[in-house]
Amino acid sequence: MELLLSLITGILVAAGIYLMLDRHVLRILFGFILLSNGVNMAILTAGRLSKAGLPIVPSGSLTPLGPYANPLSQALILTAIVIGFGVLIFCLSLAYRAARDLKSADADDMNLSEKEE
Amino acid sequence: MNKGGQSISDRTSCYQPTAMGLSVAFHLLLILGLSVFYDPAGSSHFWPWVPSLGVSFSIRLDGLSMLFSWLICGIGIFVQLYAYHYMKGKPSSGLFHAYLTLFMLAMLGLVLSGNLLLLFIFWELTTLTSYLLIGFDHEQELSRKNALQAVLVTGAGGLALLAGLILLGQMAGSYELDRIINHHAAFASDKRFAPALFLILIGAFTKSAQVPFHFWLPGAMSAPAPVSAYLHSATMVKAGVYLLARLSPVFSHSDLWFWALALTGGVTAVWAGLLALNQKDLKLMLAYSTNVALGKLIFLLAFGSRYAVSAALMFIIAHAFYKASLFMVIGTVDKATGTRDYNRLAGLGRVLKFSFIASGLSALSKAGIPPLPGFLSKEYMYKAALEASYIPAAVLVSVNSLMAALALLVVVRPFIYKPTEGTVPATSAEKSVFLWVPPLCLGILGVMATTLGLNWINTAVIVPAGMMISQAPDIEGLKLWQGLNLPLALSGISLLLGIAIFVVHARIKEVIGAAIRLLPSGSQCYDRVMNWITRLASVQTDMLQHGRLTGYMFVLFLMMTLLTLFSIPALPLPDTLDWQDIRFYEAMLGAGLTAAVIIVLVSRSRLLAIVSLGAAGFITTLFLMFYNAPDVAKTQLLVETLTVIFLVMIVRRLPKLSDVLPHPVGRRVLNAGISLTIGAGVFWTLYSISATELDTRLTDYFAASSVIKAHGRNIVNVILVDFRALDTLGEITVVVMAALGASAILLHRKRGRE
Repeated sequence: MELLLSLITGILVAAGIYLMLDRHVLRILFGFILLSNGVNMAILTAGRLSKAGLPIVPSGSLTPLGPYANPLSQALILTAIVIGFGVLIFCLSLAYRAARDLKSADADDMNLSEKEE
Repeated sequence: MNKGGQSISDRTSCYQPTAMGLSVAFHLLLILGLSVFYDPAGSSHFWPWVPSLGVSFSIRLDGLSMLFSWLICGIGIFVQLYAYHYMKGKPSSGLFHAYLTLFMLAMLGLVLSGNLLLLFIFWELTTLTSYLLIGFDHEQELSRKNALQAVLVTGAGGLALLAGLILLGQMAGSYELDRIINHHAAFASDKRFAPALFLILIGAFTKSAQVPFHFWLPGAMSAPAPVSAYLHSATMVKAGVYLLARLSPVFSHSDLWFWALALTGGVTAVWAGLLALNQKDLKLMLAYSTNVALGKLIFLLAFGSRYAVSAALMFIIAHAFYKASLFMVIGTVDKATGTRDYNRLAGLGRVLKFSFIASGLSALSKAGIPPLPGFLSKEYMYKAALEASYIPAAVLVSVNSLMAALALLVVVRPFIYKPTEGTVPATSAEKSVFLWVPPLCLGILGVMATTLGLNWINTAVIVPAGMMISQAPDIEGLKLWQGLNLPLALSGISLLLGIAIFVVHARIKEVIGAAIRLLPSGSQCYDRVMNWITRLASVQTDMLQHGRLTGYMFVLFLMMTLLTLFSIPALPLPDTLDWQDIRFYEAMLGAGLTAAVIIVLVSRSRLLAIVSLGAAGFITTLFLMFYNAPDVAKTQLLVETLTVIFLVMIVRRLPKLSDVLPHPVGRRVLNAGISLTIGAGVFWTLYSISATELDTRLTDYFAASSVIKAHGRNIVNVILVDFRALDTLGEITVVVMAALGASAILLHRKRGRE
């Protein structure tokens, strides 16, 4: 099982990086989304995959009964998803504004702040 | 100056006498305190500071450090007094005294340190405070430039010194001077010996302004006169000499030490002497003659015999007194006439009477006339040289005759020659006692040192410090009269030669000037190197900071690729591929995800790309469901949906994917190579991780305490809102800030339109 998920993670990361190397800002953002997904999958896989049981303590018990999926990696992914989403929205609006103001979606044209006055 | 500034200046000048008194009292207290604790046999005090790095605040008070401490504090008093009047009325003169005191303390710390790293810290502090002092007239460009030059040259040397000291510390297994000096015999065969010595020598030679680093010292003459009188007589430039004297027991038995010191010192002394003769500015002449003195000291340390060491110690005392006094006198001359050009100075002896006496006494000591300290050190110098061979004796005779000629030049022409048409009339600048008492006192103290106080100097510093440097038990005190012998004859010869050089000075100056112009000057080389560095920096910046995002990304991921290639293949993979575990529907979902990703990669339609992106996101959600992560799956589902909605909203207003030219084919192949390598690296790493044992301590803890401590049954939720609540708070903050930022970016335009 880890084999499949590792493979999927590798594919997501490779595609994400390839897109992030592109010139169109939109494709860079697509790359960012794929890379985020890849990272989430990586955390899940590194925390081990389990189909055995939910990480929930049944009522009437103080600890989980039987095997359960790793709750720690899930908590970390949750944090990662939310932060990734926040950053993505910020980048989206930035790309939108930049593209409208500069009349171009070419990332290499978006260098007003680096030009000498 | 405006009215407010004037009143502040008045107010500060009221405080100055009190501050001055306190400052002198502070110096005296330091001298007294150190003298009380001083034991010629040497004593150490140890306080741990950073034990893990071997840094301790240890103090070592022996003959050598006591000699320097006395000079630093003693000359310091006179310099402070002189500066009191010299800087009066100038803005921020209070700051000047503060810098001077800070420098004095740094210097004191340097000579008292018993730990190599502590010594280095004080060494750098002297560099920093001297920068503030040399560049004190920071409104003048030249001042700033020269201060920077001094701090860069000595700072670069400081870095070399640090490396050298660390090597030395590693050889000895300790940074404590006591231990290093006691175990010096063990280092000689160590392969770190030569590099350590070389680096330490660079540090000492830059600080003590030896060829080829000599140029910063004359450059530092743009400092006010009190700074030159202090930094270039007893303190800053002597730090290198002190360090070499201190480490002499460790290194002096090696040939490298002898040749490096003898050649550098000898060349510096002769070359700087010639340069000094070529100057018109009296202050610059003194500056170059300080180079000569430092060269001579290094030359003497090379021999390290008991006569050489005694001569060096005596010369340190002599030079501190006469050079400080002469710098002050030149400062007064500058104040009285407005010039330091000796062609335009004459007849000052009648106007500046006390300064004339002070400079006369100092110049006699510099020239080496009995019974002044300069003479005494010269006698022993010749003794030491004659013990070795005739070559060092010849070097010393030529250096000393240059010194004598310089001493005559500094005094005879400005003070004794009759004024002519070309000379500047002098106003009496000696109304304030502070301008003539300090140099006069130093001059008189110089005379007294060898006539009345020689016995005391011998027992208090020369013998203990000499034993410290040469590690020889047979050091004797200096004697003023040793009978008619060869050294005395050499002394006479160098004096006569000096007078001869003085007489024909105007004629040989042209020859010297022509010879000097043939060689590149140190200062020009420095400027050229600085130019290269700034040019290299701008070329490099233009190359790296080109302003193209794709270029930055490319470099970033290329580095990651290289890291992947060099480190990942070392990770072990599981022995067997567990492909049998994969269920059919999982494999199908994996294939679907791959297909979606490929569509995103190749599609030229914006909408198709977004739809495929959404599909890929939903498939990952399904995987989260399969592996018992319902909370994560729910969140991912919401986020994916929102992402698609936002993308569709915005994408209509963005240029088409085909509006921007793709990279050329070669670049795209390279990009593909980079991304495939990193992707493969991620796969490899993850799969390798899955073969290792999982550390479940944290998971077990959360599972066990979820109900008992946090009263929650959903462990994932409990971790987020309870065990890692602060983390979640930070996450919420990030999202709020991103939302604020995004709305500011999007709304700004609308407001602009209104």
